[in-house]
Amino acid sequence: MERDARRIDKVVIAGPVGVGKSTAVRAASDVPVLETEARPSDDTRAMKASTTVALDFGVTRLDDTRAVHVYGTPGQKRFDFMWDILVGGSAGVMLLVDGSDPDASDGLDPYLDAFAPMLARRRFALGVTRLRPDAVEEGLARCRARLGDAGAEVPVLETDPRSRFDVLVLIRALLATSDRHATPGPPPGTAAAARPIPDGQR
Amino acid sequence: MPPIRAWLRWMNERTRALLEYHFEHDPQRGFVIAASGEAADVVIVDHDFPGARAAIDSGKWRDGPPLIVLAHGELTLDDALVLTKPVDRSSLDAAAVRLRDAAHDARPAAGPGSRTETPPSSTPSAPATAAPSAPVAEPPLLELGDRRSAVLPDLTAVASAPRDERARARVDALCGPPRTLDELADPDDPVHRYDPARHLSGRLTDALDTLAAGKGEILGLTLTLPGVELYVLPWLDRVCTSEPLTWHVGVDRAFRPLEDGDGDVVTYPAGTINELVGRVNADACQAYPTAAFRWLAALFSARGRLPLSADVERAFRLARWPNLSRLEMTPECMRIVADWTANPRSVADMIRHLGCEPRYVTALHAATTAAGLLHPADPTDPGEDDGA
Repeated sequence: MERDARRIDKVVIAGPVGVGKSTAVRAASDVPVLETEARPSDDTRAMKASTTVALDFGVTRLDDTRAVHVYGTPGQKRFDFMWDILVGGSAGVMLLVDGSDPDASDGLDPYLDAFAPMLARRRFALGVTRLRPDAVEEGLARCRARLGDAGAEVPVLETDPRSRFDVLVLIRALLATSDRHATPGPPPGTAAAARPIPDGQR
Repeated sequence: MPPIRAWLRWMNERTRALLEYHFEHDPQRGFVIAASGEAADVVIVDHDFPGARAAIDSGKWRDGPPLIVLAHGELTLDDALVLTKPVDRSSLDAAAVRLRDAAHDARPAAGPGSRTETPPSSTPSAPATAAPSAPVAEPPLLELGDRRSAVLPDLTAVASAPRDERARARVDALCGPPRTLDELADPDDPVHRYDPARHLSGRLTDALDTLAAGKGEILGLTLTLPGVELYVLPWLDRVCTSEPLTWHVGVDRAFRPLEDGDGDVVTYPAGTINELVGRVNADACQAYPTAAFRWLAALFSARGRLPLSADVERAFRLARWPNLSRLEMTPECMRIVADWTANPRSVADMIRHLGCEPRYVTALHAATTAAGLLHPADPTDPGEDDGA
């Protein structure tokens, strides 16, 4: 399905255990997802029956010319060597964080440290999950503040990892940020210039 | 003894689930969750949530049911019970005993032999040190439906058209017809410029400013337009409409240019808020998150035009990314936002820089301005491209 794409980008989804990384890869992918699930041997057992130990991999097609390889990372810190491996050559990192927990943003430090170079180059987007409907702006602002100066320039969006629409919006926002200098727009009046996200992906 | 009915407010799903678990597995049934619209005997909040702290600081809970505050570490409040997080069964049992004792102490003395056990739900219970008060009925919850499906008016008139045609119709609806930069440059052009004050976007901004100026005294308001009434409900972060915003029906009514007499605003202070809730329950048919409706109102009001007297060469910068996953997106909005958050640019400069249709930039200019995110650039701001 990606054979006809003229451009293929690589995007990495990272974040704490149980935040919805594998779910997001499955939601975005147009093909069956490659998963490396195993029974947890640590505290993760209390949260779920299986966890990603190497990577999740899926492919999504954004339009007629552009496809994206989506990689999900393991959440546990002891697998951080995989974060380094997966992020190489990527267009950027999408970090997911649980917005229902006021303390959750404090737990972001290992991930922000690990992906600091990507954040500094604005090849970074933050997806905030599980926000209560009456506290969306509050939750987004709290997470945005954790990003420091970069918080204003990188996308910080409410994201339901089960929603294909939400995950694709975050991917598109990340790519818009990461290749801001590179892409001239399509000529005015062309079909590509006038096409919003297709209805079928909403 | 009947259980104490509790509202759970300002807490995350994990804390809520923990409390529900304890309530359901307590053999003595100390607490139950109060059903929506029913009175409650106690309100339980998490002190880690800013909304809870603001409510406590404002003191407004003193007129309502007793308060239980969940908090990390030491916290002392004069008129509330404080439970240490994470909450366990024994602390909830102790809280139930204290609430019942307080309710018992607050009851008028009864003659010998006439004493009956009054359930907490029918007798006002009180916090440990506060005077007893009558249970307060929570405003009935509103059926707001799916948030996202309500964001874009249903373009039913073109639903049967081919997909590309529908996409173009949608873009035309949100961004107006194609315009050239030269056409947009004249600040007084009646075709390519508009007056926000004579459209819903301006009236809605005024109404929301009225709410903000009320500093909590005004709990809601209505905005009456020709044929459509808007209900602004800040405590739910929602704007409801009395008519469905289907294309050629509600949209034309709600977003057409307004006359001087249009757009009456009625505010509802605390004592009359249930009147507004009743009207919403009876009349409202669609609910939008406030930010999404404000964004949509700006797009439909501007339709790709610039405000009268606006200078196309004046530089702006976006304060941050809008929450685009919950807002109506227009073509090229990602690239425009990515650039405008990094660099100060004028509308004309952005159009030239991205090479996109001018109406895409002007539409986003209207929406981000209404959202309060687009500000005139600091003349000393070099931006990322020039300053790196």
